[in-house]
Amino acid sequence: MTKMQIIAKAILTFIGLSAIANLCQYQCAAAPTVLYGGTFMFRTVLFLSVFLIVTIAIAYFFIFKNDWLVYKIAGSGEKLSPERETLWLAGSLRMVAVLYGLILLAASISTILNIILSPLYVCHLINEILTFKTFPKSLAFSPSQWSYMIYNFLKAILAVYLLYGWPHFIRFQLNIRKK
Amino acid sequence: MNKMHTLIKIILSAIGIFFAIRLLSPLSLGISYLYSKPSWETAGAWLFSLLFVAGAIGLLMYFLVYQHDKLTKKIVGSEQLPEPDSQVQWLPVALRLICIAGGIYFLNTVIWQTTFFISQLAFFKENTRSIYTFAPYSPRDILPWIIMLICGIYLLFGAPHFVRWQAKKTLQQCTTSKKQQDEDQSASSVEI
Repeated sequence: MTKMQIIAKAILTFIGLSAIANLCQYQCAAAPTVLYGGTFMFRTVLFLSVFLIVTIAIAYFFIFKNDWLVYKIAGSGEKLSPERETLWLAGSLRMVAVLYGLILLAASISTILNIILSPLYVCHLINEILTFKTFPKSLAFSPSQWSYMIYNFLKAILAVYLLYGWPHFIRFQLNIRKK
Repeated sequence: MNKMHTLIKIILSAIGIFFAIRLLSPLSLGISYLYSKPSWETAGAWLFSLLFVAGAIGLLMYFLVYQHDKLTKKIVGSEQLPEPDSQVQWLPVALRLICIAGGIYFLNTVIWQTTFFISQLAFFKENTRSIYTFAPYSPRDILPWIIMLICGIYLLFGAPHFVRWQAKKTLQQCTTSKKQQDEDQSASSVEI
């Protein structure tokens, strides 16, 4: 691979990651309308299935198997030696991971704090249940709230994983190169 | 000055201009508040937000556009470095740049929240009996804000520990991959 191809690969991966995160947000907003039933349900199921296909296609073509697109964008040139190629590829993919991880972290700090402080809430919740013998109404979240909570939770996990360096994906990409 | 210095200067200027433009958008929120409730409090809050944002933009432009030579020297190191092609030097430099951009993004969000908070305070003073009978911000809301501010400042200083750790991990990964490759090659040659 040439340097330009590696840079293109990193940029495509970044675009793919951000597109998937945004698409998942739309899906989370739309998913609870399935519960309304009737024509809403049909429309939402259609919408969700289309979005799911688009998300999978983006993950496949922009993140996992983007070499064909990279060669089309960057063209050919002087190839790097295997050692330098490994370093450039690992370095640029890690940079993408750190950059997008920081962007996601900025939006996930409240979620991470809530996860860290959750034992306190659980103690309070158990106290409330034992005292009043009923399930507290404050926990009766609507379906849309649940879907957003799940989305935020997954986003926080992704942010932490990306800031950790996205090791599995980079190893996968390096193994593809070797083969 | 080598290619890397020039590249870093361009990137720093781009980061500065991008975030300076991005910082202008909370002002539109202030204008909408001013339209919805024209009063001295909202006007004062909007003026305060304007000054706050103008100060932040001024600082950004000063450090990232006009005085970027000093910052570039701090990021890259001495002027006598070889070109980035010949060594691994670019890796921590690029990571540090990303951290600075991330730090500005964090602080940008804090400034957004601050201007929003100022506008809310103006409403809170006026309508204590109608809309905002509670304080617009509780300690639980302020905690993420403070953490974001601390993270932003740490990242803005180049996040030295984080960058060192990331660079070390990348090099480790490359070494492991090379070892594995060598082992595979020796195994295949033995088979042949």
